[in-house]
Amino acid sequence: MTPLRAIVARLGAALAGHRRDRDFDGELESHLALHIDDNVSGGMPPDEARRMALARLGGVNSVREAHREQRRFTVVDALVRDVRHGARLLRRHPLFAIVAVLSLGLGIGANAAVFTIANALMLRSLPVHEPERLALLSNDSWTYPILEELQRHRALVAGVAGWANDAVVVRVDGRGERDALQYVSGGFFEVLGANPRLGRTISIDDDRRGGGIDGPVAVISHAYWQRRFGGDAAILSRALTIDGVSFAVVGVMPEGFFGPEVGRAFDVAVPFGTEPLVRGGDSVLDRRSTWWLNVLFRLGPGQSIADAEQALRAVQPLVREATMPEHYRPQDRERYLSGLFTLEPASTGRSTLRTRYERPLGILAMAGVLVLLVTCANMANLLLARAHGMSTRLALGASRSRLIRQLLVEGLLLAGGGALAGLGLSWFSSRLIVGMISTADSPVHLEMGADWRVLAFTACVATVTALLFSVVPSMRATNVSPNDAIREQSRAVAGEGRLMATHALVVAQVALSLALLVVAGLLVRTFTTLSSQPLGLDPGRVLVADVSLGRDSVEPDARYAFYAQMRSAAAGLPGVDVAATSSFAPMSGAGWNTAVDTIDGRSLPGGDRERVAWLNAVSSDFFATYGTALRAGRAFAATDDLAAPPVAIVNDAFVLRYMNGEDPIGRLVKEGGPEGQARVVVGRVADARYFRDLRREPPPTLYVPQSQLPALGSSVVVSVRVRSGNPLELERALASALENAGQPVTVRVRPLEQSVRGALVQERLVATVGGFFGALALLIAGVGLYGVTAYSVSRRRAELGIRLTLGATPAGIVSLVFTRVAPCWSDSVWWWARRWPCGWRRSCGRCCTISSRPTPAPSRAPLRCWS
Amino acid sequence: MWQGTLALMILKTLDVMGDLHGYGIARRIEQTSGDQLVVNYGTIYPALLKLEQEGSISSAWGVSENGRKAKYYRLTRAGRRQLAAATQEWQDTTAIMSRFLAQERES
Repeated sequence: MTPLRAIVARLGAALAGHRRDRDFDGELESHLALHIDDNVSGGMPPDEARRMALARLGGVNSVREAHREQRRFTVVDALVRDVRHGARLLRRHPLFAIVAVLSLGLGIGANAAVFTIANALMLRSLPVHEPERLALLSNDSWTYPILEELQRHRALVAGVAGWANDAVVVRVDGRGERDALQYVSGGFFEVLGANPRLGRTISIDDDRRGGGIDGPVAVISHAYWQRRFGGDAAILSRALTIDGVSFAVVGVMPEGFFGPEVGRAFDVAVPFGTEPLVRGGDSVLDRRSTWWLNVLFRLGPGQSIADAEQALRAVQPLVREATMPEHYRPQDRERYLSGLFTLEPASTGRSTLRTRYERPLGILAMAGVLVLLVTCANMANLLLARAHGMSTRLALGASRSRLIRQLLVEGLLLAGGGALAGLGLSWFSSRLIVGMISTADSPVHLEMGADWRVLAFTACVATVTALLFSVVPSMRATNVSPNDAIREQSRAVAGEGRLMATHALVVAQVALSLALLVVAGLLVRTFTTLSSQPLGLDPGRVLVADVSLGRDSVEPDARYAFYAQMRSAAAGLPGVDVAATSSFAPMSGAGWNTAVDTIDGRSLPGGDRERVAWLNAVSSDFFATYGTALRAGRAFAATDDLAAPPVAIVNDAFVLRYMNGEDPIGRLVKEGGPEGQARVVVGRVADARYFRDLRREPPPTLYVPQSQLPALGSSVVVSVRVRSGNPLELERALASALENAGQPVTVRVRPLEQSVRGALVQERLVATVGGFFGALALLIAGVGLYGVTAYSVSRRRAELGIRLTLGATPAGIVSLVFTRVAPCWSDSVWWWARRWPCGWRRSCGRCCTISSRPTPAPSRAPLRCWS
Repeated sequence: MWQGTLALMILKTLDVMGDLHGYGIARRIEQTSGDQLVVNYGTIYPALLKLEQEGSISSAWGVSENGRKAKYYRLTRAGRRQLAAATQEWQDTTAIMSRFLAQERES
C-alpha cells in the first residue's frame, strides 16, 4: 500500500501545483516583513529584528512542510485513508458486506437489466455508417410500385431503398429450415450504410426481374453463415435454394449486423426482382394495393429531415398518380392522392417491438426503482445501527464532514461492489427476459452487449444509491453533540432521533414493498384475466399445420382439390376427431381484411377503413375443429361449391356492427370492391379470437367457403381436433401424412395452445418479473424489520430484565416487543390503503386490464412512530 | 486538543477584529492570552489552511496599513456558525469540568 500511497500523494502535490507553494512563500515573506516592521518600530536594530522574526516563526522550512502536509492531507491522503478504513471495516464485518453487496447487486442489477433491454431496443444506433442520416417513410407499409417510383427520384436524397420481411423454407445441401428472408432493393445495404464482411452486397444490377447477370443472388448474415454453413471459408462458391430456385451466395454481412429492424434479425437477403421467381403466380411485386414493404432514405450530407420531406412532397402527386390502385372508387382515389409523405428519423432503425414493449418495460423499470429504494432504506438502516462508532469518534474530536465523507466512501465501496454484481446479474437476466419474450412464431433477437450507455447508467445508479443510503443517515448519526454522544453510550434515551429515523425507514421499506406486491398482484391478475377469458376457440385439443406448396407445383384452380385431399388424409389419422383447412389459423398473426360495401344492396356509409371486416376462407368442419359455437343457421357443407350460390357465415360482432343485431340469415353481404360477389349469409357463429393480441376484441368477421373461391394461395393451414393419444406423436404423424399426400410440400406443425401462450408472453413476462421484484422487496424489508427489532431489543435488555425481575412474564415481554413492532406494519398498510385507490390504480388502469371492486376508504392518522 | 482550540481562537479573533492577516492573528492571540501562550507563529498557517479548507474562513491578498502586501483572512457565514457552536460547546464543557473539579471530598 505504501508505494501506492506515495504515488497518489505525489500526484496530489503535482495537481495542487507549485502555484500554491509560491503563494504560501509570498504569505510567509509578508509575515516576516510585517513582523520586522513591528520590531523595528519597537526600537530594534534591523538585523536583530529580522533574527527575532525568523525565530518566532519557528523555522521557515518546517512551517512550509507543515503547510504542504495539511494541503496534501485533505486532498488525496484523506481519501486514501478513508478507502482503506472502509475496506478494513467491511473486511471485519464480512457478513454485513456480503449481505449489502448482494442486496445492492439485486437492486442495481434489476435496473441495469431493464436498461440493457431498453438500450438495445430503443437507444442504440444501428451498427452502420452515419446512422443519423437515415430516415423512414412513416406510417404503414408501402407497395412496390411506390418504391419503384420513389427510386426514380433518388436524386432528391442520397439514396432510396426498400425491404420486406418473409419467412420461407431455405434448403442448404438439401436440408430445409424455416428462415427469416428479407427482400431488399438493389443498393439497399449501401443506402443503409453497411459493408459486407465477405464478398459484395446486392447491387442495382442484381435487382432485375428474374435476377441480374449473375442470376439470383443472396447475401447472408454472419450468424446464418456460422449456423447453416459452419462458417465455410468458401462460402462465396456455395448456393442455397428457396422454393426450388437456386441463389448464389455473393456476400456475408459482418458480425453484429442484424439488418434495419431492431429485435428481428434477417438470415438471408435477396433482391426484390427475384420475388416472382420464388412466389410464382402469387407474386405481389406489381400489385398496387398490396402494402408489404418499408421505404428507407439516406439523407444527403447536411440535408435535414424537413428538407427531404419537402422535396418528397413536391414529387408526391407524380408518385401517387403513377401508382394509383386500379379498382379504387373516386373517394378512395382522392384520399390516396392527398395522403402526405412523412419522414421520421431512423438512426435506431425500425422496430415493431418498441411500441409493444414500451409500457411493460416502463412498469418493470418502476418496479426496479422501488426495489432499489427498499434496498436503500435497508442499507441506511444497517448503517444507522452502526452509528455508535461514529458518535465515539465525534466525541474524540473528528469533524462531522470528515465522518460523513468516510461513510460516503464506505457507501461508494459497497455500491461499487453492488454495481459489479448487478452488471453480472443483468447480463444473465436481460438475456433471460429476451428469451421469455421470444417465441417460435416471432423470434426476438437483440444485440445486448454492455456498451458505454449501460456502464454509465449502472455507475450513475450506484452513485445515487450510495448517496441516498449513506449521506442522509450519516447526517443524522453525526448530528449529535459530543456530550450527548458520550451519554448515549451509557443508556438508551426514550424518543431519540435515531430510533425515529430507523422506524421511519422501516415503515417506508414495508410500504414500498407492499406497493410492489400490490402492483405484482395486479399484474398477475391481468395475466390470469387475459389467460382465462373466453377465446371462442378450444385451443387445448387443436393441432395446426402450416403447409406451403412448392412453387407452382399445383395450379391455383386445382389447389382446392389437393387441400381437400390433405384434409381427408389428416382426418383419417387415428386419434383425430375432425379436420379442416383454412387460409390461415386464428391468432397466428396472419390476417386478411376487406371493406364491406353493401348489405342487402344498401351501401354502407364511411370510407374503406370504417367498413372493415376480417376474413378467413375455411372448409366445412372448420367451426367443429376449433370448437366455435354455431349460434344460428348452418355451417359450410360440401354442397357449397362453385356452381352453388355464394354463401358466407358471420360472427356476432359482425351482426352487431353492420346489421344492428338483427337476424343475419338469408341476408346479402357484398365486400371487396367491384370484383366482390354478393354472398348469402347462411350461418352465425360466436365471436372467436382472430388477432394474436388478446387485448383486441374479436373483430367483425366474415367466413367464406374455400370451395367457392376461384383460386387459392399456395399456403394453407390444416387443423385437426385431437380425440385421444399423445399429441407429440400425433404431430409427427400429421406432418408425415401431409408430406405424403402426393405433392412436394413443407409442413410445420404446432399446437394451437402455442399461439395462445405466445399471445400472453408479454403479460406473463411482466407478471413473473413483477412478482419476483415484489417478493425480493418483501424479503429485504423483512430482513430490515428483523434487524431493527433485534437492535431495539438488545438496547432495552436492561429494562426488560428489570421488568422480568419485577414479575413480568416472558409472554408479556414478547407481546410488549410485538406491540411496539406491529405499528411498523400497520402504519405502512394504512398509509397505502389511503393512497392506493385513487392515484395508483388510475395510472395502472391504463396498462393493466383490471376489474376491481371499489375499496372502502379507511380513515386513520397516516404515519405513527414509536420510540 | 491544541488544534481545535487554536482554530476556535482564530475564529474568535477574526470575529472580533474583522479581516486580518496571519501575522496579525498570531499577535492578537498572543496579546489576548496576556503573553501566556507563547508558540511559534508558524503553527498558525496550517491551522488557517485547515479552516479555509473546511470553509470557515476565506482569504484574499490585500495591503496592510503600513503598505505591505499581505494575505487577509475573513470569517465566512459557515465560520460564524461554527464559532457559535464551538463556543457553546466549550462553555458547556468548562462548566461541567469546573463543577466537577469544584467538588469537595465527602467525609
